[in-house]
Amino acid sequence: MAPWIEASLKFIPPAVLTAITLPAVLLPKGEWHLSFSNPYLVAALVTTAAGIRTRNLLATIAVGLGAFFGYRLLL
Amino acid sequence: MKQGLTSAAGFPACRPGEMLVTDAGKSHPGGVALSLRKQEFIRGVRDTLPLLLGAFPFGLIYGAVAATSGLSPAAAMAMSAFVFAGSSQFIAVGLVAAQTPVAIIVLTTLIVNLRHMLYSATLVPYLKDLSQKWRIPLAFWLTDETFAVTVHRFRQGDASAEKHWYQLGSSVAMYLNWQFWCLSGLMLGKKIPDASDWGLDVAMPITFIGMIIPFVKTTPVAVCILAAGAASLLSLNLPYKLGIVVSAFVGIAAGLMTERNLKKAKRALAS
Repeated sequence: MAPWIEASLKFIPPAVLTAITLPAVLLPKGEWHLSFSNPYLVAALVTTAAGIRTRNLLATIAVGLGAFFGYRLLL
Repeated sequence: MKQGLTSAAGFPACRPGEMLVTDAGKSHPGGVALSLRKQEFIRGVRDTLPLLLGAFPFGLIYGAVAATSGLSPAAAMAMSAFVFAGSSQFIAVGLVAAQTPVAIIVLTTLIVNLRHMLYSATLVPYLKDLSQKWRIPLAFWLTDETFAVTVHRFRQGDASAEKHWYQLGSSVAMYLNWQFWCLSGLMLGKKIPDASDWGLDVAMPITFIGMIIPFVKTTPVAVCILAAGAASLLSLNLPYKLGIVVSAFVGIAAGLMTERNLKKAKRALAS
């Protein structure tokens, strides 16, 4: 394997995942929704914070889902 | 491709002594060999148990998301049975829901799974003496989790000739766990009325954010993510969801360039 191909493999998963995630959060129904009334965006921010803090996938997903459905009840 | 990888794999983990003893295709099913195989298999299952817990929300959420994506339950389960790859299945379901052409789905999942080339290159020195009958199922069942525990087992110094049974144990545990939770998620997703209005589609970005964070350990990966994210917002108007592939390549290029520049700067600083 060429060294540059080997070096690029590690970038593939985060690059692809980000390219799918960001539009799904900022344009949840196919339309731009850049405000705090967008529960997808709020849940994504909470999930990111939880992920950085806990470093635990199970806890991160649980907090993110809780934030989404909790915030939607509040709205 | 397998042959090419064998010769090109310059991995330090490859110990010639171990490769000689991994010649299990020839050993006879005598009492000793059989109990060693059983031991390795059980050890593989046991070491994989904590990872089953990590895979359970993925499987459950996959099933629930698939139930609302427009895929039939049979198609969603067939994907779990025949694709057996968490992130690829999520992406495929998301793309199916967005009515993406099949070619783009295939290309996107191919890119997502390119990391398996690196996995195979790492495992080839340990598995190359096995028959196709072994290598094909082990390759099919390989996941990030099984790779992580198995490569650890292969690198241990003992002369067990049945370490592939360990990988089989880990693989089977992951596979059955995945099928169980996908089916549970599908049934749950179907039971909830108007599941599509519940916003279960949020599970995908949330799960992906959870998966992205552990990758962000170095500056090049952080730059890669920022570049891929910016590109994904600038390429929204591209047809057939091509923006995902384009953005991925932009992110990869940005990561590679950052890595190269950092190395250059370090060398300049050292000299």
